[in-house]
Amino acid sequence: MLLTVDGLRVSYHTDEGIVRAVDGVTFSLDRRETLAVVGESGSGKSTLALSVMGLLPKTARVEGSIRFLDRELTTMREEELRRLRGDRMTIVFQEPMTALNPVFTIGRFMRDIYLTHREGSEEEALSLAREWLSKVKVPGPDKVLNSYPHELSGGMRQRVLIASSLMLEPDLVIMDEPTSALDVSVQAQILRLIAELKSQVEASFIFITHNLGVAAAVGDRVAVMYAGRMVEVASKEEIFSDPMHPYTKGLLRAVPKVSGGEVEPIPGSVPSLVNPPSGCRFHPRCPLADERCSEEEPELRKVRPGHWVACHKVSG
Amino acid sequence: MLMELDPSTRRTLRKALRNRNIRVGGAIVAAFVLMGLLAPFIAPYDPTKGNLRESLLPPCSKYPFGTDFAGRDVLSRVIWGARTSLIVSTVSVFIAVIAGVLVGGLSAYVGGWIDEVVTRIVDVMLSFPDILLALFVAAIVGPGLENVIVAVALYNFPQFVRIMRGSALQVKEMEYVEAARAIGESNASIFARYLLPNSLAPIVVHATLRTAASILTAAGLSFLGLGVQPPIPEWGQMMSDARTYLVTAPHVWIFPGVALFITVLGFNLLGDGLNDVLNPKMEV
Repeated sequence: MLLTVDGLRVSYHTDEGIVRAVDGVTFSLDRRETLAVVGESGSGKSTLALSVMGLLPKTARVEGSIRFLDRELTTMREEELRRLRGDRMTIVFQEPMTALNPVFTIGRFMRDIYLTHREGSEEEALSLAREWLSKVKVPGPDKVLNSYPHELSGGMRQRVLIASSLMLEPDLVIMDEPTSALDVSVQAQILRLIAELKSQVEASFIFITHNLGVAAAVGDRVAVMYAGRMVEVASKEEIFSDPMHPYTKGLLRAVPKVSGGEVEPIPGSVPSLVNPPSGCRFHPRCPLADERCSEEEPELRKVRPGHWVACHKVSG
Repeated sequence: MLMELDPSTRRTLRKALRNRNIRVGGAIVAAFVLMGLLAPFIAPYDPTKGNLRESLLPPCSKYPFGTDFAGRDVLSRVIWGARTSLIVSTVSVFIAVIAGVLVGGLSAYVGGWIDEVVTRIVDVMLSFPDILLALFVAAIVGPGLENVIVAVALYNFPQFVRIMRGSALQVKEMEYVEAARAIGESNASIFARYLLPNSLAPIVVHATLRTAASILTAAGLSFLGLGVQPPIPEWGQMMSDARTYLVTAPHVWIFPGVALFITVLGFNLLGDGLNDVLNPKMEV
């Protein structure tokens, strides 16, 4: 296993109380595998990404274990973690407009990534940067290398960031809603690009999105998160053909279809993470909920090979 | 030369050159700086040597600005006074900027109790009226060119700390700072190459405005006898000396006064213009 996350809990102390952003998440990721993590805002998916990268604010409390390349990340010294970040594990953020330092050219940015982690010359760094810019289909890589971020469009910047995240051939690439801030047409291009690049590199991907369709387009497996927990993990085929958790089912029904038909929103709203509902966190919104659901927290358990669900109402 | 710059810098420059405040202010400041730098070459007389027999002469063809009580040429003293003001204001603002940027930037970046302590100290310093703080320092360390510089630098310092801290706090939250961490940049590198350069725009503007205020403060200290000491020519001190002949020989205070007025106006215009061009960052 490349990455094993076990019983991860991330909490913040705030004036309103303890916010449990991630509350007991367990999963593992194979080499060359892509896990799509789907969830609404506040489901803890971005916190999950940041905790793997070790980028949580200092005020966050992290419990549980994150093993990456057979090393424990939660107790690792910042200095060692820093050497892994950008080299063995990289992240692409949601907002390409602000993720690049406005005072550096793209070339300087990419060169710095290389020189931070590799012994090598500037020429080597720039030629590698140029090579990766053409791999992400940036027209005129040489011109882009000499451009400042504000001279590029959002889609172009996101391509630059994707190229930068893959340039050093990392083992793990986390993409935190990489297309959500882009125009729909650009989104499709970037998704196609990511799907293409996946087959060319050795990296594993964690792809975070709030969009089930996007998750299906890029993921091998899909994990559905709700209020800080994973409620269902399955292959992308099964999550669509045979969703088991009532929340996953609800999500699928809430997606508008081109063919028409009713869109059924899930009643209620995402619960507060300060004071989450007892038992199963979804029970106040769940059509199947009974007394047990409001008292006992369901564990994520295997209902069939490769399909995990956390629900009392699912048998098997 | 202009063509070698990248397009955005060129755009900013072009915008700056079109700005009337920058053009007028820039011209005045340039004249002031040139006057200060070239004082030994353009001043017609030695500013410290007078001829008592030619004391308090009104402007005439020999002395276009007249002479002071010691018979020294007022024009030469005004020109040399520019040099004194130039040294005091630029050096003190420079010191204050360097110190303020480092302290304010680090305070914002590190945060926690260090930030808390720095902010409180700066608040205390800022609660003194400008000139009072400088007066206080000047009174303790005594008069003299170096001491005026220290006093004026100290009075500028808390302002730069506060501005830098505010600006850096904003930049610190930008996604590219987190992205820098995500590519494995060290704290030192993030501070020096991400935080500092992106927080400097308001500092540039404020430094220009503070230069004007520093010239005034230095002149004020000298006027009160706590600043630059005779015989070094200094505008505030010249005006102070002229108090005795306020009515009988007004040219002795009018010329340094006008020089002071125009110079301060020039820096303020330049600062305002820079503010227009730099601060509402046109492109993010």
